[in-house]
Amino acid sequence: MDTYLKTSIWQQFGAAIDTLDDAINLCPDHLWTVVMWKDTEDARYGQFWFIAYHTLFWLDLFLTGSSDGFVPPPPFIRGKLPEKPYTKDQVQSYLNQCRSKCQATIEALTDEKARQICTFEWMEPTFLELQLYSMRHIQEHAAQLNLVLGQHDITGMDWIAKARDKATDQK
Amino acid sequence: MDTYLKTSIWQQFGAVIDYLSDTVSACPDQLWLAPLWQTPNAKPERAQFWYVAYHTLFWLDLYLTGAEEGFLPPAPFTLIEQYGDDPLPERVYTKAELLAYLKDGRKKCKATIEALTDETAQRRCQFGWGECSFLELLIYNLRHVHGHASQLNMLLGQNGISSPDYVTQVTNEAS
Repeated sequence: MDTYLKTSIWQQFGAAIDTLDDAINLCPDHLWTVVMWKDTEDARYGQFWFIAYHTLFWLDLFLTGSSDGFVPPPPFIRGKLPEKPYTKDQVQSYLNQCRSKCQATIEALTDEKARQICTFEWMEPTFLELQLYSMRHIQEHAAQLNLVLGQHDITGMDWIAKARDKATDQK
Repeated sequence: MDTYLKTSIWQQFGAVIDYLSDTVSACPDQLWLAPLWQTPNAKPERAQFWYVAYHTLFWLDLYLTGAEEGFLPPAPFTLIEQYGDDPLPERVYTKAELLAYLKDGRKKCKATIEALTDETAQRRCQFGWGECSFLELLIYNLRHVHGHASQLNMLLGQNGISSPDYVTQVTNEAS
C-alpha cells in the first residue's frame, strides 16, 4: 500500500485517539463516574469511565479484524462490568497500548490486508473500511466525552487536526 | 485509485453524513437555538444547534474543494470563520435550508470520492492548521462531520428527544 495512504490514515486515526486521550486526561475525579446518559440495563454503562473504556475495547478488537476470540488485556474483562470502575490510570495505559498497536497496524498495512473482508453481525466491511468505522466510533465518543466536560465547566479541550508526534511531544 | 479504497471511504463518509441528516431532521423547533456548550469567550450563537449544524456543512463543502481561497457557499449561506474574521450569518438558517445544503454536500462528496485518482488524492492542501494530502483532508473532513453530528445527537438525547441511531454504513439512496 502506498505510503501516502498509510500516512493519511494514521494522521487522522491518531488524531481521533488523541482527542479521546485529552478527554480522559481532562476528566477530574469527581466526573469519572458522571452519567452521560441513562442506560436501562445498568447505569454504569452510561458513565464517563465506561464510555472511555468501551471506546478502547472496540478500538482494540477492530484492530484484530474479528470479534471471535478477542479478549482485552488484564485487568479488563469482556462481557460484564467490573466490580468497581476501572481507574483513570488503567484506562490511560490501555489507550497508550491501543495507540501503539494502531500505528503499527497501519504501518504494516498491505493492499491484501486492506481488502480482507471482516464479518460482523451488523456489517461485512473490508479491513480498511473497518478501520475508518473504528476511527469515527472513537471520534463519536471522544466528542461526547468532551461535550460533557464542557457542560461541567471543564476547559482545555481543543480540536486536534493531526496525530501528535509522541516522540517529540511526550506528556 | 483502487475501487475498494473509494468504496471503503464512501461507505463511511456517507454514513457520517446520513447520521448528521437524521440528527438535524430529528431536532424539534424548540431546540433549534439551544446551546450545546457555554461560550464565555465567543458569540453565543456559535454554540447553538443550528449554527453547529451549519458550521459542519460549511466546512464539509469547503474541504471538498481542497482550499479556502475562492470558496463561497451557495445562497442563502454566507462565509464564516475564515482568515481570523468571525462573521455570523445575517439570520438563523432554517432546518429545510440546512437539509437542502446537506443533500447537496452529500452528492458532492460522493462524486468527489468516485472521481478520486492517485494524483488528486496526493494533491497537497494547505490550511491554517497544517498541510496534508487531499486524501487525508477527506478523512479529516469525515472525522469533523462525525464529531459534531455526535454532539448534536447527544444534545437531543439530553433533552428527552429520541435521538437517531448510529449509522453503520451509507444508506442506499435507492432504498
